[in-house]
Amino acid sequence: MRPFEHVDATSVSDAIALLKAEPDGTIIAGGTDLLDLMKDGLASPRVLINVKTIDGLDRIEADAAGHLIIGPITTLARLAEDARVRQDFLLLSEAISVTASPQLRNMATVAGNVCQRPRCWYYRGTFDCFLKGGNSCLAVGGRSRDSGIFGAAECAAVNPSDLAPALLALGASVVIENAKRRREVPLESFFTAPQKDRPGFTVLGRDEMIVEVKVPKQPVGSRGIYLKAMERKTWSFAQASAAIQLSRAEARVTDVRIILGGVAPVPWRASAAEDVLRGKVPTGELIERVAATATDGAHPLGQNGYKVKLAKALVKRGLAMLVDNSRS
Amino acid sequence: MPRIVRTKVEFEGEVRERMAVVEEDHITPWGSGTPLRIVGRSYPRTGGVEVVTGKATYTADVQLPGMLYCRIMRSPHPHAEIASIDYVKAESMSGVRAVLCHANAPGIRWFGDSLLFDRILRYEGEEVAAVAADDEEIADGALSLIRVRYRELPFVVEAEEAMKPGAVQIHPGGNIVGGPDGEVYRRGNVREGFAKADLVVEERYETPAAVHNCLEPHCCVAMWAGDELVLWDSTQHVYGIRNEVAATLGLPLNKVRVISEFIGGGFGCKQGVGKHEIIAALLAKMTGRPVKLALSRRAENLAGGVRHPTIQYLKAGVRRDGTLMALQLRSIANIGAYGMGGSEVGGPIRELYRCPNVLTEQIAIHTNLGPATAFRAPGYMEGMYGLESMMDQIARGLGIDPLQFRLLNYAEKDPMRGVSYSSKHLDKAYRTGASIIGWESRPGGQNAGARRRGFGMASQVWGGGGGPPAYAIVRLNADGTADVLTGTQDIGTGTKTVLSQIAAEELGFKVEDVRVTIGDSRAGPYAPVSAGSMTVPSMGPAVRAAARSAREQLLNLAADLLRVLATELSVKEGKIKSTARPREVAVGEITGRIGDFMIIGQGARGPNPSDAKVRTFGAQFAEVEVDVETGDVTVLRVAAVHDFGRVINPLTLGNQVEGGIVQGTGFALMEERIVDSPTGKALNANLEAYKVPTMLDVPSIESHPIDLPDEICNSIGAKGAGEPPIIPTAPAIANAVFDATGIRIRSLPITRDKLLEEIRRNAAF
Ligand SMILES: Cc1cc2nc3c(=O)[nH]c(=O)nc-3n(C[C@H](O)[C@H](O)[C@H](O)COP(=O)(O)OP(=O)(O)OC[C@H]3O[C@@H](n4cnc5c(N)ncnc54)[C@H](O)[C@@H]3O)c2cc1C
Ligand code: SF4
Repeated sequence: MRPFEHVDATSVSDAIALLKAEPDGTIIAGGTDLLDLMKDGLASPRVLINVKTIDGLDRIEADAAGHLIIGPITTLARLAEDARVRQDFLLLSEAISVTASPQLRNMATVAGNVCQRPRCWYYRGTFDCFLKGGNSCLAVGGRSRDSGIFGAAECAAVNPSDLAPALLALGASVVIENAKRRREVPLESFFTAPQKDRPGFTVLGRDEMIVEVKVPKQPVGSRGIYLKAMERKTWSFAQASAAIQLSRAEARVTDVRIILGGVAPVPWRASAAEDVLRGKVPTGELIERVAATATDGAHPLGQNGYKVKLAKALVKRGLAMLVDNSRS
Repeated sequence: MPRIVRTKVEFEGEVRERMAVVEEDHITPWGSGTPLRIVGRSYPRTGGVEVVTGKATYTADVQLPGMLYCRIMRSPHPHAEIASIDYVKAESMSGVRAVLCHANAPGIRWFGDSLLFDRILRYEGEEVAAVAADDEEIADGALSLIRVRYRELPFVVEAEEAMKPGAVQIHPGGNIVGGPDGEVYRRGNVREGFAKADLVVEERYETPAAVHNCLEPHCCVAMWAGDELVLWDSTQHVYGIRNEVAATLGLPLNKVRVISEFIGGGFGCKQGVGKHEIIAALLAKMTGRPVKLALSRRAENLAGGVRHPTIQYLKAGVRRDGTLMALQLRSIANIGAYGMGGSEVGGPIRELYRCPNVLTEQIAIHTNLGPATAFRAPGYMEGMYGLESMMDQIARGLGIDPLQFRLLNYAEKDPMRGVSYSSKHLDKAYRTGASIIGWESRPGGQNAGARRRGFGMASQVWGGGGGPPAYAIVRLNADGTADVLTGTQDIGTGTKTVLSQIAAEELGFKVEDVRVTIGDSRAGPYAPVSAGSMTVPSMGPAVRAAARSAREQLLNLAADLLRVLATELSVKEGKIKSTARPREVAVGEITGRIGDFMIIGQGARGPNPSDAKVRTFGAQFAEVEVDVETGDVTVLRVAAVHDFGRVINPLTLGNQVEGGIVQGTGFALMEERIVDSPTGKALNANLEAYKVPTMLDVPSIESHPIDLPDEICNSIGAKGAGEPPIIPTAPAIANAVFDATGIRIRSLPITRDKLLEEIRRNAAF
């Protein structure tokens, strides 16, 4: 591991100035991903800019319009336990409750989580795959059990986050700052497929910082659910997951967002499936159709065909549970 | 008078004849009628509080003044030759005290035809160089300065590829260990047996490479005191390490001392000496400083040993009435570059059932993978999965209840040699397990809906009889307390606790007045490796014999002092009683009278019975729920009924059963080293990607040991319990998954991808 310097930032502008001044500088939050990357030689920053020392970045509050504002260094554990979150954005708590382990959730932050790098074992191991400057993706013709079934270009790794699909299902956005400006980016356009020079999954520039995550107020009676399938009962990344937020008026679905995790380089929005459901009364038969549509266009590799059936099952079950729940 | 006898000792399925020096007079075994006060009761683990409060000193906790830290550079290639190695920069780095590699290391033979540091590297993770430095970071930094030019060689990682003519040769003798049919066992004539069968089934099973992943990785600290070597080591055999290290370094046996007080698991991968102990000793010698060497988790996964994967071609023939006519197995074990041979995969096929015609061929194949080592019930666990899956399939094919089918083919005598068992209560285990799980009233198989329940069962047979040599010493102190000294070790099973109970029982002392010292080759006499479920049945009788000798000396002394006959005296709860007089005398009163003159009892493990086969048996029953939409498998309950002879301590025994089932559940559902065939490199050499069970994966476990003393096997009537519990778990779960779904996965682990793929192919869903 390359020797590094650790600097405590005192403010957002201080952190951003440090980022700009030090081309080999990286923000460190909980460090639960970054330190592993450094130990495995996948990141070798010269300066770690600690943002946990900045006042006010761990807030969880509602703005005047009732939108939820989450500070970037809020830990997953705190977010999941927050009373407002449990009341109005339960989907977030559900997703966090099946994320990693309690110890990790105590350290991991919201911004760190959405910025984490791929878990592909070729990437994390000692292999020269495309993402590390090699010629090709080794997973495609190799051990592809964990790879994506959607949207892969050169790299078949999936976005590993559980929080991201949940945030997307709630229509969240991130507020990003650099030395010049502050912009709000909907999460849907925040995530990108990982590329050679940018092994993360986001549009974030290297001198930029996430300063806020914003979750819009949900319609009254809107409900969410997060279902996740793992290799064991806990402490595992998703083989596939489904984050669903459903709003209804009378029996009809007024709005629905279905986001799949663990199947694509980005949290995968099943828009066509949403369209099948929107405006309709969700019967069992319709739910089957929605679920089938959710995996339309999947391109499984040699060993991940099961993810198609799995994603379908999660969508079907999630919707059925949401519909059942609101009935009772 | 010591005498020499021949005796058979079984170790992990292999029977070896040994000469035993026996000092003990025959001791009448504790029978079922013997009243015992301490043996058979639960006592919490000696040292348990230290372990859970972090106070226990494991090898990695040993801190010595001036100690250096060693890190090892490992081959990044599955097969390569070192063309050149340049370590000048590393050596001259500040804080670096010594570098070892093939260019400067002594030519110590290793793994037969290889060297401690060899130019030819035969697996990813093989040792290339070692650095001793002031701290681990410096050592790591130095490793990155060592420049190695590798000439990559063609490699092979799949066993069936490595068997083909023209495959890459890993050793001059070829990749197939022994003959082309490997180790062959034959009884009767399988051809005739299959001809007489009404139903013949052939299947192929696969079991994965499972990594031990002990919580405590391999670790040692080597320190020279003059010309003597002191080695703190995480090992399953302090004496074995002493012997092997002394032989390797050319030292007299009494100049090597091995200490291993607390051990964070071994499971078979810490049975013998590894390169790390020798490397640490050499570096300590070169630098004149103590050297600590702990394997990283990654090294542990690549080079620390692994349960060899198997491919099993199994064929079974059975009559319509359920009589087994023939069993045939050809097993192929992928033992990696340096595994010392395959394990007894054919063991269960040879000895579980009364079957007249049996043929087993066990083939072991070298490949460019890390060395296979023993892993909790090696061979039997793998073989039992194939056999018991097959038995389940056949029973169902015949329309016979799987449990009934097993009883139909029950072996009253050892099917291999026709001799009687010292004791066997497998039938009782079947019945008890069936009643706990509700076997008779279980719902019949594949119910509709997404979440389906299923029940499965499997049997267990294994050795665990232990044997000589094993020695103990019991010393009585002036205050009436006792010290038990032996060179055994506690690999996390509760050895200390159990031995203190046995000593206290025989002495007639309170258990808290007995202290057991183990884990130091200089403090106690020889004790066998803590493997093969050997420790309790070997050490228990030795400790009992030593305690008996001490008690007899004590009573003789008391008789003299009290002026009564020794035969009138007995000891209970630390008090000496006489049948002639009402007054009790505390032991301390007697021993106090002789002050520092000491009563020293010696004991040795006697020979094994010559005319009986000593085995442990058992059965496990599993109830699972399979979600046929998502592929989730949940093991709800496991009922475990094993026959280990007498139970010494129900609490520590229960821990063994639970641990075995946890590890067995991992083997059934998730554990597997995954290798990328095109590159020959491991993909999941860490605890994030290599999945072991978490608490939430553990089923509710109901363990009801049979607890009937085996009055023939040894003087305490107890057999080993370390390995048996892991054996039947995976087949019981696999059979339950079939019961729930009608799908039989013949390749462990039963993962979601395999299940969903089968479900997709199966029209019934
Ligand atoms: C064993 C294990 C299991 C796990 N299981 C799961 C799981 O099941 N589900 C899941 O979702 N995750 C899982 N994770 C990942 C874990 O959730 C992430 O590591 C964690 O959320 C990252 O947060 P952090 O604060 O520690 O980030 P860090 O490691 O500190 O940083 C991660 C990245 O984010 C960047 N970053 C951090 N804050 C900011 C900011 N404000 N602005 C811009 N960039 C920033 C850093 O520069 C770095 O590149 C697991 C991790 C481990 C080690
Ligand atoms: S999926 Fe991406 S990270 Fe994995 S091997 Fe392919 S290119 Fe590399």
